[in-house]
Amino acid sequence: MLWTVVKRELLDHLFSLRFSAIFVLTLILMLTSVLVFSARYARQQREYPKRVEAFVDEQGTVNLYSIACNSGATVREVPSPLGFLFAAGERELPDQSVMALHGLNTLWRSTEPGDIMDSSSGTDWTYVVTVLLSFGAGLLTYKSISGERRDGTLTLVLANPVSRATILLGKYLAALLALGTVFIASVLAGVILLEVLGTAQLGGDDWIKLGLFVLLSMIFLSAFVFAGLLCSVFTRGPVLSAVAFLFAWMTLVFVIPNLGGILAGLNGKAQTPLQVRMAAKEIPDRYTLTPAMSGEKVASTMLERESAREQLLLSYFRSLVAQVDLGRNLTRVSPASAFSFAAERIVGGGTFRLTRFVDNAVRYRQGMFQAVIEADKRDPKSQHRYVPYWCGGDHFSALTVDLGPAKEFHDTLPSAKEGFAAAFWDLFLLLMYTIIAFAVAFWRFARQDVAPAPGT
Amino acid sequence: MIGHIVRKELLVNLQSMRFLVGLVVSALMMGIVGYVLVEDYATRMQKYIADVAEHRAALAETKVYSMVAVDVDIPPSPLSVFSRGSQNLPTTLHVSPFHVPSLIDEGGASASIGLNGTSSHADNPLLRMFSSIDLGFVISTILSLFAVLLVFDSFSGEREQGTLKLLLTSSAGRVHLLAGKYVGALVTLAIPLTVGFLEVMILWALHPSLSFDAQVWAGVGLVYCASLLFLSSFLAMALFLSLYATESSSCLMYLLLAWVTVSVVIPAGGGYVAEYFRPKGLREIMLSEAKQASAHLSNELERLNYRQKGGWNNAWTDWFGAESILGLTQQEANNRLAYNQKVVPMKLQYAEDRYRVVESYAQGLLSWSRTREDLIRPSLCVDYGNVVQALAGTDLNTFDDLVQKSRLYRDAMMAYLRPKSETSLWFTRIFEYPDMEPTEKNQQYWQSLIEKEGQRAVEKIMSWDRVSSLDLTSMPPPSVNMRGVTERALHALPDGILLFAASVVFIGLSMIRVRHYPLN
Repeated sequence: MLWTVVKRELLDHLFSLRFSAIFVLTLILMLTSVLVFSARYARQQREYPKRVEAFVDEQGTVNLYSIACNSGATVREVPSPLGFLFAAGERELPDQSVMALHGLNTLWRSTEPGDIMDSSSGTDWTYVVTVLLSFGAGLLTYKSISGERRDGTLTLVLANPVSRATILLGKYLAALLALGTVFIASVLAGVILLEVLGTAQLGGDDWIKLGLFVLLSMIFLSAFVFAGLLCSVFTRGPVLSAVAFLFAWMTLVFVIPNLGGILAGLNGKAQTPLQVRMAAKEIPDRYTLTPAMSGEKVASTMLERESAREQLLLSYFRSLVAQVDLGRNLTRVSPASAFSFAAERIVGGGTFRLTRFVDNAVRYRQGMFQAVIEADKRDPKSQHRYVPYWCGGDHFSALTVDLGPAKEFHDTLPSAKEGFAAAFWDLFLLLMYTIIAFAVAFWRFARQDVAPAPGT
Repeated sequence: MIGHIVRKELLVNLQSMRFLVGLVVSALMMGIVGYVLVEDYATRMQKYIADVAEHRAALAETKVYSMVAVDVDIPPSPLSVFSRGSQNLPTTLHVSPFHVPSLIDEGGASASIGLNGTSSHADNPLLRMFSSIDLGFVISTILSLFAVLLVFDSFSGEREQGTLKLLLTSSAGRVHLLAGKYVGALVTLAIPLTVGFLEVMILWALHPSLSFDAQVWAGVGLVYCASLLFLSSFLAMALFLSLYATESSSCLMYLLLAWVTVSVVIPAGGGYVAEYFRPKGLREIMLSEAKQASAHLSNELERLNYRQKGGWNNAWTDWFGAESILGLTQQEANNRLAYNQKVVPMKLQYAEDRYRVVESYAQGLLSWSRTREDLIRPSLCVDYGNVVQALAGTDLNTFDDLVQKSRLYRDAMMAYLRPKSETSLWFTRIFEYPDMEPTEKNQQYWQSLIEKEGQRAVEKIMSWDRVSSLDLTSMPPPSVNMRGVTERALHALPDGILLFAASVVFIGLSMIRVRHYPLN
């Protein structure tokens, strides 16, 4: 019986204008986003350097003589081949780190000068799903109950041996299937386009991420389908349910997610840049140098200073991320926020990805530092004293050596498994929202007077 | 006759449920967003005041002319409540002998996390990943949606209830009916709009640290008029489209699709399409030309073959180490003076050359960004956004204007500084403080400090407090004026005209269409 309901509803949807309109719009936006992504990805890949200039010269060798003075080595984030799935806040976040061999200096984003002219938000697939398809969910469902009730067909339907739960479920499944058709067809078209363009090669892990993203989107859409049904069940006529859905949609999709930054700013406590600078200035006082110190002692004290500076930078960075996360936790009451956070994690973007990059940068620096120290130990002419910002003299090796794999920076994206683990709670939350919406809709529908309300 | 229809429509609208819900939602939204942005403005204003004081103090402490550097702070616009503008635009323009400000060379606002920050305000760069909304956005999405909800059944509803026939039996013609419904809806829409504006004004009035002049109030008035114009054009479009559907609920659906296209798909998709057409190669040209210019300067300097004692010679600016300023012997300072007369003009020329290269790149990007704007202009929401941005002065154009003005200011400043570059005051004060000439003993002490403490020692050696600051009172004071309200209105005019034209066209089309609207 359920399938009869689903089939009827689905056919209704598939031949309706709203379905084609949503289809066309979704397809256009998703394909555009792939096109633009591939142009940008090609550029990013050209610019992504394997060789860390300032540490490693063009022959791939490292000059130990000057390395302690080089504080401008830059490592960059590797561009993600799935950038078309999630790119929204990405362009505002730091994407590179400047370091000396003895410590990270800054995290920043080079001002690609054209960026100041970009005021438009990125249209990635996450955006299409959160804004357009969730709106489509409303369009397909807003009058499914209230419309039938007004037309008087609901009583006819219920005259058949079919339970109310079956009807509600049937309408839900039909709308979800229709949306799924739109979404998955567009995903396929997008993926084919991506393959044809050939700029981004997706590896095995990327396909898993894409699959997870599709699954996640379907769960999100199912929450919105229920939201539409909820509006339809609770209102007298289709017009009112449309109005109710629109306001709910507006609040969930635009208002609450946008409040995140504001809430984070109001509630979270982050150090001011000036405070951090003051803290950095105090470090030398904690590790003081005295004229009586031996050369080794001077070297180790100065290294301690630098490592304290790096620790300060990292803890400052973590406090900033914590502030962002706090704001986001508050916005999770909206499924749209929960969805975009989960998508961000699964795809590997946002602060999740940035934190990973910083970890990678620190690991690279430490590995490189060890390799340099090892190389120096093999030089009998050196006094084996690495002193930050001191170059020349005979306290450190003057050789030019090849350090092997340690000299190259390899940024790795979080794997699909890690992304899924990080997104787990958001997924759980989305499922909860779906279940709650279903429960409330069912509870209400089971008790509803199905006769057309007078005066509508 | 129209008056009667308008009154009836207005009363019907005002008593409807959708009006109540819409009013509450929009008042709530505008209240929240307004509160947040007024607070945000107040914080940025505080930061601006602090920055101005800080930069003024820094300028007053300048000890040699080559180090004169003016930071021109851009005051936040009070109307940013209505249009927040790009968050990537820098808030400070740097003007100095060796740097000509240009549209894209300031870089001040990039997300950067480091240990050298100076801001005393908690300013989390990661928070920028949240998109921010402003009142212009609320008006262009929520109130436009409201407009759709008000008119979607104005004809189909009457027809379904059978009252359309009755209405048309009266002496009022169809066109009158249309005009009446249009005006009635517009007046209804003006209510939540007015409420929103009143909320902002109350927030302003209640805020302890804000006060505004007549210019700002005039600006608010203009934004109000522009909003009304936008709503009227949107209403006209909705009314026109609604005349093509005969059933209310399907009509609502078409209109919602139209709404989502105009307010979401075109602005987001069109802007994105333009991204695809971003001019390629411009950046490479800029980089190679800039490299050429700097290589040219390096060669020239190489050719002169001047070696400062200590060997530190910065090719692109004229700043030397502390040793050069206080550690010079008088003999060395005299040599330097002779050398400077040849070199400083070159370096200043280099600053100009570099500016020209960067600026031509910037203008290339700017014209691309204008193309992109044109691409999304078919959306009424975009036109409205442009108008409000221009009125608020948060658009790129206004910023470009400020950059140009600060460049003019630099010209005035250079007229004052250029003669100074031929004097020793350009780079040293050793002639005024002969007792600071480096003795053998001093130099040994400094050397040991540098070895022990590296960079920090340099700061200690530069015992600036012993040297008095330069008297810069006769230098032209930094003056970069924001555009006045009339100028901003002029820049907002083209998009305003577009909105007006859209209203007229859609009303005209509706009037033609309404004659053929089926009665049965």
